[in-house]
Amino acid sequence: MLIRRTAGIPFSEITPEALYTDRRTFVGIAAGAGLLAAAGIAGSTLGRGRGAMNAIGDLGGAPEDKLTPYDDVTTYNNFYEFGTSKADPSRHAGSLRTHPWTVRVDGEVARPADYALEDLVKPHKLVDRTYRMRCVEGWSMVIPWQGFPLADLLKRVEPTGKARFVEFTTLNDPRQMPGQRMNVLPWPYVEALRLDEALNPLTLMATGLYGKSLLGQNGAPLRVVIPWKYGFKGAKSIVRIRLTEKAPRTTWNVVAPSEYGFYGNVNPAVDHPRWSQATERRIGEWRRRATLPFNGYADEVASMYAGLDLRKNF
Amino acid sequence: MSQGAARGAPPEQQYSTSSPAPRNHSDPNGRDSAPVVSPGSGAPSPDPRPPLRQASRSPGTAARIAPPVAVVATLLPALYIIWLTATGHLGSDPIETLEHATGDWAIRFLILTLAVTPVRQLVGWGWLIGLRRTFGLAVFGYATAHLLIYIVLDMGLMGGEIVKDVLEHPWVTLGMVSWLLLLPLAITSTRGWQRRLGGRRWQRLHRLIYIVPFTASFHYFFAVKLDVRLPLFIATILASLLGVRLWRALARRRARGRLLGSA
Repeated sequence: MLIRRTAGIPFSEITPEALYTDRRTFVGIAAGAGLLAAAGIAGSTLGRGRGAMNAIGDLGGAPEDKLTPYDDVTTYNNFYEFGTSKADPSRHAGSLRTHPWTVRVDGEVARPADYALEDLVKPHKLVDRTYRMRCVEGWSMVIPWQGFPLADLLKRVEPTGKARFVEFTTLNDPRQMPGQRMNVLPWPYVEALRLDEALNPLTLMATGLYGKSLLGQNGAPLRVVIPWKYGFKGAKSIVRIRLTEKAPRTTWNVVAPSEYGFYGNVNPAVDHPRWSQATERRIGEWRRRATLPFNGYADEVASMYAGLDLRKNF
Repeated sequence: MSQGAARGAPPEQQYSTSSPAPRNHSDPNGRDSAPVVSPGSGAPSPDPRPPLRQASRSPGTAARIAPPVAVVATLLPALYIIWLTATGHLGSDPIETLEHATGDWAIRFLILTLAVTPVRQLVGWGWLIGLRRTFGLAVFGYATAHLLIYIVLDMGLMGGEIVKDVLEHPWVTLGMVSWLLLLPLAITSTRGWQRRLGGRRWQRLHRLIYIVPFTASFHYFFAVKLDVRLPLFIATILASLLGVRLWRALARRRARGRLLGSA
């Protein structure tokens, strides 16, 4: 299959989910070293920002990040291709056919090509990354992903000197995606990153979560995860990755430019016009918690935005 | 209940376009004094006029059964929501589920409240008027639950954040306004208050209900992130219910103009 797994999974240490104690039965000694590194990344990425949380103050001591249960991650989704309610994607994603799956990589690259998903994924070493996911609506989750850094893929396809942006396009097929029979959004869904954002080590092309292949509702078979940005930036069920010279037009920005900017960086200081972004509700918790700048990943990503007015470039 | 008894029920408006001699000419309270209670409810009427229906006539079956059925019907959604809460079936975001459920039921009962009079006029079931207060109180009840869930559970009683949210976001402001409009109506919904205020003032106050469809629809419309099909559908129903009233009012005015012209 498409997923080449690295063995011995660090996130099982983070949360003792009975779910995957029966998985990952082989642990290669050689893989162990690599995994420790991966665990280090995942652990440190999550660990940051707790100090910042306390600095926010009046919310009291912010609780630890705990993994959001698998059931919530797979039944509470925004994926308008399958319907606009949170329960729609898990109800309707069964009609998605992820095999065979082709991803076109084109635009400003030295080697444009149509890749069978297997061929796209196979050369890359899969890593575990446990990331916070903050939705622009004001709720959040903690999700253990598996995938590979987008940077690895981009290096492989060799962007030209002109390439400045990376655009992701979601499958457009109303027969498989019943939500596309309604024009709530202009299909296909398009999202994009600046090239430096795409190359950031945190940016992940995910193929699985909780040690399982992605389900349709989570963006199977391939999606992008950008943990310091609002969830809508993470295009799902990707069929095309295009490198461009000019900034691509992204779906939510086209639909409501005053509410959703190109950047979509998590920022408690810049409110959505209709609601505050200062706090969020972690799925599974009752009390709101403070939202962190760049979703707690400021140390890794803030330097990319030095000198940029984040109020204007929201 | 027969058509004749229905016509005899105290109307929301004092005279109909088909009435050859508007009754309010002899009405000391003016034309706004219609009591809102059903003739079948056995309540003392604040209206000093003798009722038009035959006083000896016993209330029909529908008039007797409908009010308690309506009370139970307004409580069923609440019981269902409580049951979902108690059994842990509120989904991944229980607070959002509670907020949406109570808001949805508030606006559904608002539709029912505003539908009473047009439906009564359409099909002639006079006993329907006896359900209006029950439905109206249900609107207030679900709206209050909606507001409390927002304040206590969603915002966690963070006063500053709540004030900021209400002041900065017009759709939140209008949700708050909707509840504030409902509050005096709920308080004065008793017969005691009806008497204290007098029919005319009471009815004038209760016309505040006609503002709520606007504030509540706006609130609902902008609460939704993008897919506004359902809020638009709800707003269309509410607009139709208000439109019927406007149309009848204009027809009455025209009829009165003709009457005055021929005098």
